Amino acid sequence: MDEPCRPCATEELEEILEEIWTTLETRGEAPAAGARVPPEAAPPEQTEKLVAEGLARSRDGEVFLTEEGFQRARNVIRSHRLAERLLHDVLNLHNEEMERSACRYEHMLGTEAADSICILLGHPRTCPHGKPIPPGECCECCETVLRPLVVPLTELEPGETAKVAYIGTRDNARVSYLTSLGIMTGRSIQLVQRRPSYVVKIDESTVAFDDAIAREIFVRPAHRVSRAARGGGWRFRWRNGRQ
Amino acid sequence: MEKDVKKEPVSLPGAALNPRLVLVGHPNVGKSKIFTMLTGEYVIVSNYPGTTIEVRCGQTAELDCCVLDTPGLAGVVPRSEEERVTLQTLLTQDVGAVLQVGDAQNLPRTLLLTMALIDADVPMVLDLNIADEAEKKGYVIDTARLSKSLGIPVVLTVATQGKGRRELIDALRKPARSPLRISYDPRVEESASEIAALLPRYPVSGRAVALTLLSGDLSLVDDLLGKGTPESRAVRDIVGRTQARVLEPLSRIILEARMALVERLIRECVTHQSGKGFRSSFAHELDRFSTHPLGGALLMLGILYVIYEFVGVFTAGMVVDFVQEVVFGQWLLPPIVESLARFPYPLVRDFLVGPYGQITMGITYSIAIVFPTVTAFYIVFSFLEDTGYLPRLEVMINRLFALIGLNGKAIIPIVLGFGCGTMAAVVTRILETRRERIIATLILALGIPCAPQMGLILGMFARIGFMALLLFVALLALQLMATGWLASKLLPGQTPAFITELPPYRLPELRNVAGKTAYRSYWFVREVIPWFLLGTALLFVADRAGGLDELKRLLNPVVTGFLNLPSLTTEGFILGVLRREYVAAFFFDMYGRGLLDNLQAFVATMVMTLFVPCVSNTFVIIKERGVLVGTGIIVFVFVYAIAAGGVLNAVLRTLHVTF
Repeated sequence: MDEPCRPCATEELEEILEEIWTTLETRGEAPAAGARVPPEAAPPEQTEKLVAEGLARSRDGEVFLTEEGFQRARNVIRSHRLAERLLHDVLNLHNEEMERSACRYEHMLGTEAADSICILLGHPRTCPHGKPIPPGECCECCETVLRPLVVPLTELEPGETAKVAYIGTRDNARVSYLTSLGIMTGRSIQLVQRRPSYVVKIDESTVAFDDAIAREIFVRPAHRVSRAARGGGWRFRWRNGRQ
Repeated sequence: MEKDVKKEPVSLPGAALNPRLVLVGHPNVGKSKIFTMLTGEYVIVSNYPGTTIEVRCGQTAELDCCVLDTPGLAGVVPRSEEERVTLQTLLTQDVGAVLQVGDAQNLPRTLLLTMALIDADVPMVLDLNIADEAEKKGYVIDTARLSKSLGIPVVLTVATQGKGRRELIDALRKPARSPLRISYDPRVEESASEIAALLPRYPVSGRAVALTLLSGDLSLVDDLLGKGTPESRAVRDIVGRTQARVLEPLSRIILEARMALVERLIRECVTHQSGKGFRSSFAHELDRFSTHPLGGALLMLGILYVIYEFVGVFTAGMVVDFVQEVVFGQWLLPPIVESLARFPYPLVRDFLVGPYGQITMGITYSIAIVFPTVTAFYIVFSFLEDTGYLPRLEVMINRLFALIGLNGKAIIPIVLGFGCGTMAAVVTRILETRRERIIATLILALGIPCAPQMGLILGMFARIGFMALLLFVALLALQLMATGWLASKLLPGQTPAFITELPPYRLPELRNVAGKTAYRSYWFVREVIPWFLLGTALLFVADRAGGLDELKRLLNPVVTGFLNLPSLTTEGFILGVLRREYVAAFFFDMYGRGLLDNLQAFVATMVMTLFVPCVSNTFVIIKERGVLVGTGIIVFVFVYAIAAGGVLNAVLRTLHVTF
């Protein structure tokens, strides 16, 4: 996302829309239908092409995204960032390799394919760079039938063990602190409880944190255990004395 | 916990002794205990992260150097004020060697910090402490091999038992620079050398500082290089540029490179035989119970009740009664008063044994009433600190504190406030943002009674009744929550996310609990009794000069009219400005003598609890929070305490509440 996608310049329109989207994001503006296209995002010869396709319209020398243009840009961004997540988390590709592949995927993935990936990954909210992934239809009905491969820690049941897949934050101090507590990619983590605060065990440490942190820790559950088989949490264990 | 409040963080005595040996390590690994082991100097140690918040300096007989104990460093990137102090120490002191103290059971993160120190390129020794627990859990660490791989001496210690001291001293005689060089992503390396070129000369390598800056947030750059300086701007620029060139957060790239090496070392040097369960199933169940939504609340209430029984009913009731009535009232005071009765100068006689006498009032109050109560409280408190229970409170309280703009971590200074508000005001440094520190200080100043007050309040309520105590606590908590909520709305900013480590439950060692209690009680005698004597002297002078009656008459509309308290309580409030304990002892005595009825005692206790913090606390608040905020807090507390007392009195009387 940070480097322009040169190898796939054939999909020129989508590339232009993508550039407009990221420029708006960088400037702290929410991309939306009717948003003004920043002049630095696209030179006039590019915006003309957008206007010709009905993806933008110009008024008083300024160019604005149309509803169609916005939706198209949104889909491209969504596909790209989901692809990155897939390549990064599941296929374990990094940096240039991930970037190159994601650039090709973004033009190939249809809405449905993107939704499938989204479900598989557990509706991730950010790409590996920490930028937001526009939510799709699948994210609205989050009652997933299939348990996704990678879930935020909040989805784990107490007592369950999982491996940390990634930490979804760009806050350097927080990454450093979590790492020093042993919460890092590949580490095994056991959820002890969710309320009143999250408590987890990693190696020999016990760490407590709130929802904000729990939502940023994405894990791959070790194996699925149904709620009934485990006896439904702490009270049951307490009555039995031991677990 | 009352140690060295006034000492400046990084300017230290004993500058003649160079070079310095700096103790560095994660929180709660036993740095202070190692410090005591090396220097023989007493420092308070407990079982929760953040006991040490300032740098301490001591000397070892065997080594020709000055040993510095530092606050724990959680990550390499400091998050709160006290963590920055540790970083500052490494950058500003004449560092001869670093002794990293780590937890032998938590080798991955210990070694992760070792990697950062290796980057710093200073002679170092690695001490793996708490080796006994690691052994019991089945970890076998090949220290010889680890030492060879790292190129630095590695020793195992059990500081609580003094084990491994000789080996540690031997190792400290020959600290070594590790020959290891961790290689990072070339882009990171390139930027690190660019930054290093811009940095001033530090005792540690510029590369390490550069890497810390690259993995930290930008405010750290301003901290080290000054806000808006050309260097600071240049470094910020490099950090931003580097981050833009790589995909993942820089901190992760740097940490992953270090972690790769750590994992190799652990594979080579550590074997783990599982199956040897160390923690008893009792400790395990207690752990679950104490953070369970319902169990934890019950445990909290249970602990409160035990404190009430032990400090309030037993100590402030029975022990104080005995000491005050029998020891002082029958054995000590009568002979003294009698022998002074023939003393020729009545002024001197009254000064010593009159109604405002140094002996009859100052000494009696401090020794007979306050000292036993505060000691009892310190015993319970020191015991609780060593079990590791306090951080569990953070887990319980986090959601509640979110309402007042704090996170669970803030319970530590608040709970410490029940020991001494002055120390607690300093401990607010462990909080991450200025906003949190202000809110916590405000709550501490407003309504957290310190140990002696707490003890005497419990003593008074032991007679009024437990239900009255619960009402009192509920009313107080409500007011504190409302004030905190309002403050959190008025102060801009956000509450940082809550994350903390829970130390394992440990059975407190009798020696440590006794040592801490003795240290704190000694501190009380040394620091507080002079204030009692001074306060008594002031009352004596005011009484003789006629100013006291004048002042009482002046304040009568407020005290007797608005608060419905006897005029005598005015004296208590005046004393309260000097020391919070004094007003408590004063009211306790008045109540004991039947000068206050239950309702009046309730109102007086509320006002006293809310009332201004004592002189030393006020100074610390102003020092820590600045003149403007500090004064604001004090003025608010003063006005609020009186107003709240008046309203409480009116409401209770209208509703005909009797206790």
